[in-house]
Amino acid sequence: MLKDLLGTVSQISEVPENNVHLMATEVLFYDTSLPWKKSYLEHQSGDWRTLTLMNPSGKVAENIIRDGFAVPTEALTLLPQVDSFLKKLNLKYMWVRLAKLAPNGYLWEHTDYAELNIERRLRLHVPLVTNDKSIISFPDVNVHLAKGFIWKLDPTCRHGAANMGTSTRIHLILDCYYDTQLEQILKNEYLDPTFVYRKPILDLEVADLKNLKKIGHEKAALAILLKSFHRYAMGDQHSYDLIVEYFKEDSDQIQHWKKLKQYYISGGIKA
Amino acid sequence: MNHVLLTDLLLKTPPTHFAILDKLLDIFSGQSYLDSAYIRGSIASNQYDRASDVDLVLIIKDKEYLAVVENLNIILNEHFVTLRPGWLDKIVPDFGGLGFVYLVADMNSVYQLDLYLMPLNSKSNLKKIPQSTLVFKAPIDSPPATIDDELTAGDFQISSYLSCRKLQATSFEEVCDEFLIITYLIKKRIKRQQFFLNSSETTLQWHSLRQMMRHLWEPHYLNYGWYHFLETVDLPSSVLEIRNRFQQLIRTYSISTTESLRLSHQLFLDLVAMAELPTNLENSLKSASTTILRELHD
Repeated sequence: MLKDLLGTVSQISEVPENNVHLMATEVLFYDTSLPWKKSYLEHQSGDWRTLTLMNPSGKVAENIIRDGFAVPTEALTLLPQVDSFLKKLNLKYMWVRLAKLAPNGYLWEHTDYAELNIERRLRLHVPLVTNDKSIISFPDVNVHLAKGFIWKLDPTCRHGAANMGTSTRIHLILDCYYDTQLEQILKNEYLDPTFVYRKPILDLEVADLKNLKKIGHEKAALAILLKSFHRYAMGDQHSYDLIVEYFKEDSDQIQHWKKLKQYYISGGIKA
Repeated sequence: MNHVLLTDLLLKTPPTHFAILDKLLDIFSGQSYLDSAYIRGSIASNQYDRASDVDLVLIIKDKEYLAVVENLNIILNEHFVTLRPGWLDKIVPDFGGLGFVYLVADMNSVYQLDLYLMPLNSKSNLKKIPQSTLVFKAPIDSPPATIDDELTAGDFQISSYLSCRKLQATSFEEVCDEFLIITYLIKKRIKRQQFFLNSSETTLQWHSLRQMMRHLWEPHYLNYGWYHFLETVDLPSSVLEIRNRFQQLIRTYSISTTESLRLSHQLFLDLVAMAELPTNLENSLKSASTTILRELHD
């Protein structure tokens, strides 16, 4: 299983504890004054915010990912430790951002990059502040991206994110184009099995959720269904399929959720 | 002193108890099934401290009462990080409904949330609840409960449901949740040096541990209290070891201390591990107990 997973998620390099600490400290110091943006609202529950540090325009307000060679935004000038870390890594950045996921925050099952050009790229995560219940979900396993490593994530695979812990999670996320430097780092990739959790088999009766609609809590029913991706081994099944099953007598809703599934899973969500 | 500034600060960053209450009222006050909501306990009497629980009574129209009770975990789960599903409160007096206790995690702290769901047909029992204070009343122009709702349609159904729920045999998982909630309560007693309550809840904690052991090794004696407790002659050594540790714990501590809670938690974890539960349930129980234990050392 780990071998199969290695193409999707892996640890590619260690980051000294002190580096992580210094970067986390400056991010937390400026936290409340930084222009975090809540984006992709329809695709999350809870509170997920990003702060663009590098992008093709150099404008912090632009936070919808697109191709181009990233230059620093004004937000990066406030964070010299992060800036220095990025310079030392010396990768070909397409986009660099901080992502903050509050407790009980979820990003639903999706894939990324579908809307971008065909150039090869990869996403790297550098956890700065985290807890062991912050996970990236894949169809059958959850992986906790622990501090102290640069993690590779192939976001074209189905994934989601969740912070089921009680403290905020902050990751530095780098979208990079392949170059010799990146390929060099990738040579040492591995995956420590202690960070990989196999999810239990799906144990959810969609019909049991019907009453929630009757009492006005349909959103709670949909949230439970969307969270099924983070909680259960789904195999080839999608959380969106469960929602289609939930709406089985409502053709408009079925169409709507089938389209969303197509958009999130096959078309990418532009994140 | 500029109190306006303090008030502004308080509004921007309310104590977590109020933030939780606010969120709860947001969740429920928009629903047509809610007749009214009352706070009670130390928050209502303005005597709360950091360890106080959030006490809320929701008066639910009878027609929707069962559906709300049955789906409460899911409704709360959408908005809160709850350590475990709600525990059916066996300590709260009977006010004609059901009480549920949740442990809600918020920014590295755990808060106790006591929700009492009272059917509208029992609203007269409110007067039995000391210091209950109205915090929400459905507007008069909201859809009124019909006479059928209030008196007949749900009444018999609700009372039989309530009797069943209260009499239902407690499963291993529920006893585990009981242990966790009681441990959380004892933690408060230790902090506040409330010896009498500590003593009473320590006894309840022993009962929970005993029932966990009964479930595992003597399910036929579940309703026998302490009679014949682990007296079978041919108990395996692993069970004898657990029994001896439990016995030692009871003999050493008449009321709980931080150390005794650490020991009882270790017993709890060992029992959970021996129960061969589904992995996700085992992990959830272990994780909840670790979070509570971490709190003990704060």
